[in-house]
Amino acid sequence: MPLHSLPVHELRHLLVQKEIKVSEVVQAYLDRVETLNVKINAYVTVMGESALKEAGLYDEGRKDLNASPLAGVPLAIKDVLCLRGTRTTCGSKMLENFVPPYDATVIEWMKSAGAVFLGKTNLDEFAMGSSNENSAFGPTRNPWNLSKVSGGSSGGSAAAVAAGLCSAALGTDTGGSIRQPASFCGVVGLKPTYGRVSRYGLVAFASSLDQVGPIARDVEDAALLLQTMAGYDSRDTTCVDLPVPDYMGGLKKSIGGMKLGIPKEYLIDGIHPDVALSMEKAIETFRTLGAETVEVSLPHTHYGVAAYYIIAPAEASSNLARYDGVKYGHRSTDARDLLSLYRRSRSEGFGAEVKRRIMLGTYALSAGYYDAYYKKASQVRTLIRNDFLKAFEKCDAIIAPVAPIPPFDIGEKVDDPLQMYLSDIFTLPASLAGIPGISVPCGFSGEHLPIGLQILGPHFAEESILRLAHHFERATDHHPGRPPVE
Amino acid sequence: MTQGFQAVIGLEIHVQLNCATKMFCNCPNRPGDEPNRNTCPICLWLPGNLPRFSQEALEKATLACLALNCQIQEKSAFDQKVYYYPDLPKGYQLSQFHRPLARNGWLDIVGEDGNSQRIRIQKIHMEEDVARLVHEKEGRTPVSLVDFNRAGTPLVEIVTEPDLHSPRDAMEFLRVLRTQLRYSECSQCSMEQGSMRVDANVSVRPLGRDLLNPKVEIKNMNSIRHVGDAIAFEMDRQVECVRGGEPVVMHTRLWEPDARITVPMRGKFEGPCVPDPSVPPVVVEDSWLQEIIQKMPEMPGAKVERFVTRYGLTHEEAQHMSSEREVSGYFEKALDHEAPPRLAAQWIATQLLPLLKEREVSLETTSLDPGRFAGLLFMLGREEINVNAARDVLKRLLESTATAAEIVDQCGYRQVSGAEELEALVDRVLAENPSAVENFRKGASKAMGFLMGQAMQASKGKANPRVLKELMTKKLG
Repeated sequence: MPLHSLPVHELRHLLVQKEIKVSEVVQAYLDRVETLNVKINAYVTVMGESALKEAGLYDEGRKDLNASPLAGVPLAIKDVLCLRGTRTTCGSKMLENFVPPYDATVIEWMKSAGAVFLGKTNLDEFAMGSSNENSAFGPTRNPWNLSKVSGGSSGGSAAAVAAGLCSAALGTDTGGSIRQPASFCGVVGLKPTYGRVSRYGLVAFASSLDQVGPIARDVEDAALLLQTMAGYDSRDTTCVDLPVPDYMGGLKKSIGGMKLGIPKEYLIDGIHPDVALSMEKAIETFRTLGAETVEVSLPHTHYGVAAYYIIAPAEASSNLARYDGVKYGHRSTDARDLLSLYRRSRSEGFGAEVKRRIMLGTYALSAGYYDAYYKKASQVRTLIRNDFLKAFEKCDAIIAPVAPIPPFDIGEKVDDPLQMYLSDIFTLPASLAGIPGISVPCGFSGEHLPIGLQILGPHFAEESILRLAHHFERATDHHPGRPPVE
Repeated sequence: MTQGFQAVIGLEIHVQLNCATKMFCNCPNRPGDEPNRNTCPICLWLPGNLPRFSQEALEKATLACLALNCQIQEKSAFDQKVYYYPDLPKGYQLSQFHRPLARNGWLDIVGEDGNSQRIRIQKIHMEEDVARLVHEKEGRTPVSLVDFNRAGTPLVEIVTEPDLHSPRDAMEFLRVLRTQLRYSECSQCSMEQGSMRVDANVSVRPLGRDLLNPKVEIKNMNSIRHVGDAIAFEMDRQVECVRGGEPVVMHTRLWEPDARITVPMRGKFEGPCVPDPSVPPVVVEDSWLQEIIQKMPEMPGAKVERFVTRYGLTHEEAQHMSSEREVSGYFEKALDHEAPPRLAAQWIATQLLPLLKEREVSLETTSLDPGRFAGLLFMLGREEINVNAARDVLKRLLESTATAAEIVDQCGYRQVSGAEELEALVDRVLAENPSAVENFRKGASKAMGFLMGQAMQASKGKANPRVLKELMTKKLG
């Protein structure tokens, strides 16, 4: 297997056995980035110099490869996570030159686990989007077909993992932003339970929904990364102080007798036949593996999109109020007074989708509408959460498609935001409920584009959904994805 | 001028809590330091940073609520109040808009008519202070500078019901409120230094009517006196409007202290208010609340009662001794050193405090500890010295470390109370002043004063006036 297709756990083996040097690995990836990034546009910032310097520390023996689980592993980071001294753009012109003076907690922990950062990956501006077309730095293209979208908003990270531009990557998920691009690019993506991973240093989109998670070549890598990322952090008071289980160890346990819920509400009209077919096959596979399937009901699924597109924009409207051109970020050069400084800086600095969501959110919160929109949506959120809690009384996990459709053409939905929003229908409910979900490849469309299976678990049940995904992965041949791009 | 009208006044009082750190980060809560020294990525709210709510802020805020007789809510929560202004580093202020920390409080004030009047407090919520803006000129160019030291200082906002009806009552309420809060040691409550800021909502209505007219909010008063003046001005202005047939519309005005008028203020760009997801709801457990209640000092009302019943002070004396916590503390410490209670109350109020004020020191900073002060009062109470001598000894006590007894001995102030000694003195004075004696016997009571003065002078001020007078009366009678 070529170096750029190796999963992290196999790469680690070679490194520890001294069969290859860290700098050779890093250089090989950088060379590939050099050739392919112009086509795919997965990276916003490539950190070649610092990555090679870090690699050198291992090769010179100044850092110990055996000391930590991710030592020498080249990772990519979604450009919404702060990395000290490197610009963090959030895919926005607003923060084009913003250099944070601190590391996000997950970055700090990845650093101490020995990871080498190759660069910061492209995303929909401020993580708002499902196709990576909302980036101020141009769309990320799908490595399986360059005319297709990579998915979003962690499209850069998913495409980089798929195209062999890094070993694994960090993404963030607010309404499906890890799971959907992972599905579109044929890789594994895990959104942990809200509160499992620290949000400190993650530039906020919707703070009650945002979570950081891994995007990887296989489930074992996802478990390996989560092992380092998960845990209590006093800098994020929404972080939950629960012990972190042994995810890697958990993979090997049997799934025989586990009960999988199949929500009847997810069999909607408009689901693409290729997606429906691969779902059926996935259910069959699980049965062969000894898991039981039961029908469950998530009766409020239908309201998920509506509730999400009120709550998330509402939180975004205040979270993004800080970008006013006063202290950092884009500042208009032709402002006459304070008001025009605000107006012009924000008009020039934000893209169309971000503006749309700020307006949606502001409207939903404005006097007289608060009860009808925001409050109602919060109530719906509780109902959706209760749906899941009730369903999990009958099953250990729920399986569903990640997206109702395979990757679509670049440009296809940009003028139809509602269609774009509806493509999140299967990922939004889990985000609103705060439960974990994993996306694992489960087949290909007629156009040979990847399709992902979503496995959802109860709060803090990452261990069981990883185990289910791992067994599924081993029983099928959809991974590791090797897109035809060269 | 405002005859036939009544003002309806509600107050919103912002009080800075004297916490060691800011409300959502560990920066020192010292707004007065060199500009922008006490800042960090959290209180500058750089992208990706998250608030860490300070337990100390909750504790001090709870003390404030208890001092104002409020009901602490079991669960309260922060909201993001969005508005665009350079004093706000993240475009929204964290404030408990929807779910305040406490509700339904009250304070009693003594109204103009001398009767006690209860003023209701609607709610108290926690919020963070904003940055300070400084408008200057660099050469001829006007510049605005932002000092983020104050951004994140813990505040409580106290909102009263519109129960006040005159500038005088509003001022009285603020004085009582300040005393209560200072007592609970949650804040210095200095309007001059900005640790207490008051906005007044004022409307007017014809006397005897119950309606609430559109209110005007007045800001920028930096003393209690200014609050009164601004309300008085605003009442006049509104009555004039109403009389002129011009309706009062709801808006905000600024008090201009030099011109002593209010002027309309340009509004800020106010936006929505959304529950904050990053600060978990504030849950007050009953066991924790009981601990805080234990930390509450005895409040002025209870103290007055106790001083009257236990020490036999008059109501007025007891009030004097309770108005400030440092005064009551000094008073009771002096009593521990056997100072006679009423004498101590009188001497602290009428002698010691004025002397300290002249010297620009306070009871906390003076070198005269309550023990030495008590020593003086003890001697005065036992008539070992007289009042005039005592006044002088007090001054000397402030300037030295000697005890009262040492000073008395040194200056020879010890009072002569022995009847034998004084009898000889009285005999001599009466013999030397036959005409005064004659006058007294004719009924001129003034003559007694003269004779007493002569006797006192003859004793070089040391005679015990009470014994002296007794002897004098006996001899003349």
